[in-house]
Amino acid sequence: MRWWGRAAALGALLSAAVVVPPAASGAATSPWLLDASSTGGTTALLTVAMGQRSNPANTFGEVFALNPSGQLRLVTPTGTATNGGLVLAVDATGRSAAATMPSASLHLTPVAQASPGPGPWKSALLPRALLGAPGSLSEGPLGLFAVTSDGQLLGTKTGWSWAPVHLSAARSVATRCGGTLAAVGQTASRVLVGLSCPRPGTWPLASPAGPVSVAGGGPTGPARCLRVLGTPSGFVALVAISGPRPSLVVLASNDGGNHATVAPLASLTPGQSLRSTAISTSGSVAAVVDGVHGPLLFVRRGGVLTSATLPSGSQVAVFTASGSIETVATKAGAVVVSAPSGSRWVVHQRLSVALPYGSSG
Amino acid sequence: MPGMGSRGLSNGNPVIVAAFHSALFHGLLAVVVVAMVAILIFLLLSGKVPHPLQGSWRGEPVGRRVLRLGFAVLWVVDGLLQVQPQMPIGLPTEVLQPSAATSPGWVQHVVAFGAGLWEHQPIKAAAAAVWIQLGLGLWLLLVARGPWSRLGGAASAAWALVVWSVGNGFGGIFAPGLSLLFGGPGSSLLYVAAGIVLALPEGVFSSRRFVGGQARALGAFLVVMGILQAWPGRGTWMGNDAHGQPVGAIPAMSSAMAQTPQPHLLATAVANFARAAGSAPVLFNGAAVLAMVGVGLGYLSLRPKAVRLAMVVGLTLAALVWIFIEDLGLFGGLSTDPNTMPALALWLVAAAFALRYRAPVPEAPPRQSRLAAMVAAVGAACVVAVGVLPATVATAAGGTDPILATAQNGGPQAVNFAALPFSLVDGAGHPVTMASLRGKVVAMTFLDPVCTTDCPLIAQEFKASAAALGAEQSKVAFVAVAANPIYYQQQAVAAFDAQEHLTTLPDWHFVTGSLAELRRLWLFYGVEVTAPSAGSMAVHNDVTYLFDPSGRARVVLNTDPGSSAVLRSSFSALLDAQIGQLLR
Repeated sequence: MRWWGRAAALGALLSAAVVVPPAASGAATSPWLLDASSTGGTTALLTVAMGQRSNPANTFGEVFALNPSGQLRLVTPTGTATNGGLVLAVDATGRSAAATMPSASLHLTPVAQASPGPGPWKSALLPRALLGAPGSLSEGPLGLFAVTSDGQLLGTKTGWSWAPVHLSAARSVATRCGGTLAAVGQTASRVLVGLSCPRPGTWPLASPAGPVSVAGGGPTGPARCLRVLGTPSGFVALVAISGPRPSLVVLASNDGGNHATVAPLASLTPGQSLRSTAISTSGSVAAVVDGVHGPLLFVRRGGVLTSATLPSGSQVAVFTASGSIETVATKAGAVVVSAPSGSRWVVHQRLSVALPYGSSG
Repeated sequence: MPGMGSRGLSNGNPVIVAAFHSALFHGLLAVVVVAMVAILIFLLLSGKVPHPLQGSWRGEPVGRRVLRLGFAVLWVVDGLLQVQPQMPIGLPTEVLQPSAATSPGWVQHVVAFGAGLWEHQPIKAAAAAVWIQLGLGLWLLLVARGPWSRLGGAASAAWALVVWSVGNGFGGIFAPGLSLLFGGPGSSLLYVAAGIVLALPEGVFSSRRFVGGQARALGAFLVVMGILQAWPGRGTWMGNDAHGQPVGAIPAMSSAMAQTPQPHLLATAVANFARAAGSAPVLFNGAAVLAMVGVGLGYLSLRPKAVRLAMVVGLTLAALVWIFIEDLGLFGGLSTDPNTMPALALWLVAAAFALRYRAPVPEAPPRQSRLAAMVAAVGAACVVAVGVLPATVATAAGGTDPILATAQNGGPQAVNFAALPFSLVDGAGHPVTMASLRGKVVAMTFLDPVCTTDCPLIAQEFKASAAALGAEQSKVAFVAVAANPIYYQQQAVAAFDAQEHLTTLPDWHFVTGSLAELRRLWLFYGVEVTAPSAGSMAVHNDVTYLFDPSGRARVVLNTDPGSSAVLRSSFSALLDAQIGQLLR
């Protein structure tokens, strides 16, 4: 081969070697949303993420209390950064707890308690990371219970300890459905553990007596218990079912928690996603769903299912002590509260929060 | 201060710049001493004043001389560029990491390793780069022939290889978009090749096989780079988009270069070139491809006229690319060398001259020259050592230069007052008093048990500092006082200890007590503790007091952990140094 032939061959070889295709990027996963509200007795609390949502260091979880007249006020517990969001728990007497999710270098969970709520808060500390789910904390007559991020259940009256009695039944259900602990709630006499069950057919709820008996067949897809709360006659729970036909259903018990019935809340169509949840000790459950044409509200209250289109930007709904419902939208540090008036939503309160931008950098 | 954000170090931090200048001045003193000793030794051995530049190059093959002197000048220029005051802090983030940004992960790891070494000892590393490159330049400049000159070539190749791999991300050869016009495959690779050739016996320049092979290697390199430049799908044939914005590789590079700080005349010329290249990309890239391939084929042919013509065309291309695309290699950020074209130009001339002026096997240089060469080479090696030794010793010892913490937080402040007595409990409920710590050096800071940013980092700094103390750790007590008006209970400090694994430290006490007792301590030590609302963590000063064994406060340190692990490591080193002084 002549010199130019060798040169051309070498050139082609080296050129092919250095033409490197770009690496493929991985798919992003979306975080679990903590925006939620809880209403117990005369206490109605909601938590919502505010600030620069694209920057975790400048996103702050804030807690608001809705008084019986429907007026919102800021009651975020002080003393720790809320960049990881908060989880709320309320019982029928108004006893309240707000757990600040760990963030950045903190792996503990500061907890603020009030009896009756909201505030003044009394500080406590869960010496582990709380599970990042709106139903992972429960306040009530049996004490404060928490589901931790490593799948444990802790309970306290005087100090945190394991809750093996409550856990054993939940574990048996978890084994059956291949799932993990996802939520906790309590009636007057028993702790209820919600699960996330990837295997269809099992309702994701257990009491110390075993799986909660639900009338009718099991869920048709993987099911996750989002919220569970004690009511005067039993409990109410919100369950998300995924799979080809995703939906939200409500499990309700009126016999102290032994048996439950299932009722639909919403069927999610393509393009719709759950944004936040609301639950009340009166047995009412609501969900805000982001849709193609804006947010939608689905409410199950007193056995009646209603739905409505919400004002643009609505993030979370909250039941007032009187049983009506309001919605909250935020933008940066501004909060807008709307209430239904006929077939429309009317803004009846605006307030602003001085967010501590840059405080967690 | 937790809750107030942290800051990093700027390239022009005055403490760092002053320390860099001081290191260079001390190095300069050492170099002057080395030069005087070298002259003295030569005088003693030969009885004459040395003239290393006079006549010592006689008999050196012309092609070799071009490479030696040319790359000597480039090393001196590179060394002087390293004197820029932004170099200690700026080089890792502005030069090293960007050089590998689009390369595969393993290349980024190699570069990150080098950047990490530099970041931990930035002053010594930056000074080392100056003296190594000036030393190599002097070595090649002063030592023309013989084994000492060849050793200089080998040293030059070795350092250039380090620069090419760790400092230059292998010249981008593993990254997409490699182009000779944009500096690929790295000027330092051409330095490596020059060093290797200079390390060979001088007799090889008499061999037609060697000088022909050298020219053909250069020719093949240019043909390959020409093919790459012509390869479709790499943006080299693209110009401006519909809005006149440069999207093609050449106009985009020139346009970016035109926007960097530089003389107005040059900026205008480069901007005009970018516009022209953007409007006629096929013409410009086609000309570049033809020139590269043509010059390469000229050298591959080995025909004297073709090589001469190729050299002239190649030098013209190199000059145009250097001015209009590489922007003289000196603008557009923290420059470390004049880019690829000057080195390529040297190679074009050296390879052509080696063919044209092929000489018989040279005779050995006279004794006088050999002696001068040896003294000059050892002197130049000492200049290299002026940079290498301090950096190597500091790196081998581990740890980080405390100057970084001082640059960020200010230096230690000397104080002298008696400690405030206190009676508190630690996380396990054991009582801790100031009196119980008497006889030990005490490092006392203030931590928020539920702080999400600084406090866990400060705790880890204390742990690292304790570990570095070794056997002397038993003479030191580390104390943190709870600094949160809401979460200050024993349960909170115990949980923090567990989270940060602090209970393994033999003399660690995270203490707390009643809010009134804590407030008394905060007030005495000037620590402001507040708990703002609306989601902010509690705010307090990041400060550490050091007490001598008699219980008197002697030193105050600002404890802001900064934005990087290097700064935290630097604070631990500073804390250790201060504790060490109190222990002595």
